[in-house]
Amino acid sequence: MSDSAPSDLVRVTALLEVAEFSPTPEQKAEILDAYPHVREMLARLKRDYGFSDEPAHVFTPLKF
Amino acid sequence: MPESNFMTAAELASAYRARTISPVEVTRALLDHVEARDRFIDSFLTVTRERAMADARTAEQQFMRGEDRGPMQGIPYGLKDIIETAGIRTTGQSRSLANHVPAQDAAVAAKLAKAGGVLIGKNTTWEFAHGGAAWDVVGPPAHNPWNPDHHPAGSSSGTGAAIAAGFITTGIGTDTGGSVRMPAAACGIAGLKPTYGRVSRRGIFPNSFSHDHAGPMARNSRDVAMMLQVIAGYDAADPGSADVPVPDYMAGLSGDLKGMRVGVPWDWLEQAQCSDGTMAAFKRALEILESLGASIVAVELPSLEAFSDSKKTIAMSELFSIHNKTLRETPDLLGASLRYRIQCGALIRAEDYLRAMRLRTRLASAMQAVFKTVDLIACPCAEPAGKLEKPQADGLFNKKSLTTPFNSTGNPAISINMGFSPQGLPYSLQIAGRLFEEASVLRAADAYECAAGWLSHHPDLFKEPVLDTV
Repeated sequence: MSDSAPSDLVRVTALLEVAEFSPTPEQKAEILDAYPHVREMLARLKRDYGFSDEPAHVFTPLKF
Repeated sequence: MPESNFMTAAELASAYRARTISPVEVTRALLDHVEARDRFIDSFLTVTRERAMADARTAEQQFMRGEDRGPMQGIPYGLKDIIETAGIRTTGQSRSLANHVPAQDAAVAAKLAKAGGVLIGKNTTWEFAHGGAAWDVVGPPAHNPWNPDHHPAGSSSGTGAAIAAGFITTGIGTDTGGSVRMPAAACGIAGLKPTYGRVSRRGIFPNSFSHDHAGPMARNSRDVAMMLQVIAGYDAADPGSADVPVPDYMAGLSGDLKGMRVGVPWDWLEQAQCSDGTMAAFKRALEILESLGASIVAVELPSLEAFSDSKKTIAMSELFSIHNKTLRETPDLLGASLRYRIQCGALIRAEDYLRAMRLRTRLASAMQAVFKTVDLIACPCAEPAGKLEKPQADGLFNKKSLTTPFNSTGNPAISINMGFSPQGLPYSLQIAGRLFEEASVLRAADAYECAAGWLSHHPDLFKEPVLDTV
């Protein structure tokens, strides 16, 4: 197990529970190692999206 | 006439029709070359000797009868082992599918077979085209033919290595974040990621649905154009397929770039921390493009980090969804590297995923706005290949990729040889174009290759001729 901050352990445990994913102890250690990178990446996605900012949920390149 | 195992598809096509060489001779020679030398680079998971010889005999008989099926007739090719082949094991390099034998060909495999191509075998990849070099999967990772201590990049690693080694003339790879272009770059060959939707992905194991592309690889862009001509086109069975007319890709290979505007995103090169050697090679390449008639202008695009964040968030979610069952029930059948990369998808919430999709919309819009001012964008594709070793876990998050942006936006992009480092490893030039304008990309790539003259170089380890030409 990595030396992850206690808050990371709590958050990761909660997110895995919501995802209904029960990793092995080895897998959970790997996820905890990666989590700081994931958290930073997801934080950078927060932008000033407005109501009309449509996600590319059906991606058709010609529409751009 | 060059040594036969390094003849291009165009040269073979011409020689077949002139009856100076036969598909059976070429195929037998390449199979012997693979048998003798693939132990140095592990570029094949499965060699399909019987199928190859049968394909070659069929092509030969067709030529004898005067039956012409087009440019791929009798041309040897390999398929990345995530591309399904009827009756031939297709593993995705994963122990979880070690004995998987599909009942049907993928769309690209069926098209190449119908066009008279000769399937030499199934090429080594990264596990499910995503795991990085690994030693706990179905077979060993591929090595770089220019120096087997180095990697051939990935994930179409075996296809790139096999083409550079002269084992196959052409091949099909797949590209979700650069997996056709990166091995093409590392191995000094040409590899095209077409526009999203241009080539059907039916029957190809998914990596990230909304970023996946299949594309041709060969020793030069002229051969890439020949192969694209055969595999491009609408397929209603692929939800991402686009019903857009397919032009004649060979017709535009004029050798000049008069009137073309080429944009260079200089900020990206700084963000990617391009080495001095790569920068010097790139500046020489720009001089060649200018000498061919192109004008070079600076362009500004969103940061590489923004493209990476959007792509990785979406891809990790999609990967987790795709491999959900295996990850929960038999995780030990996945290699540690792939498992590390996909299980983090469990940490991404719906809101994160939608933020990434909203960002993708903005990034695509910004890219297409730039393409209203230039015909092409040029930049290095990647640094020369490093040593073959287990990938660093944090590299998944920290690496600034010059290829990923075009997966996010769907634009076509090619990697071609841009010379060699002092260590003898290839430099690479990436050229991207407007949506569905692969012809412009190929025109520029072909013109550069003809002017630069790098393509007569082949890896020393594989140079010995295997067939005397008439």
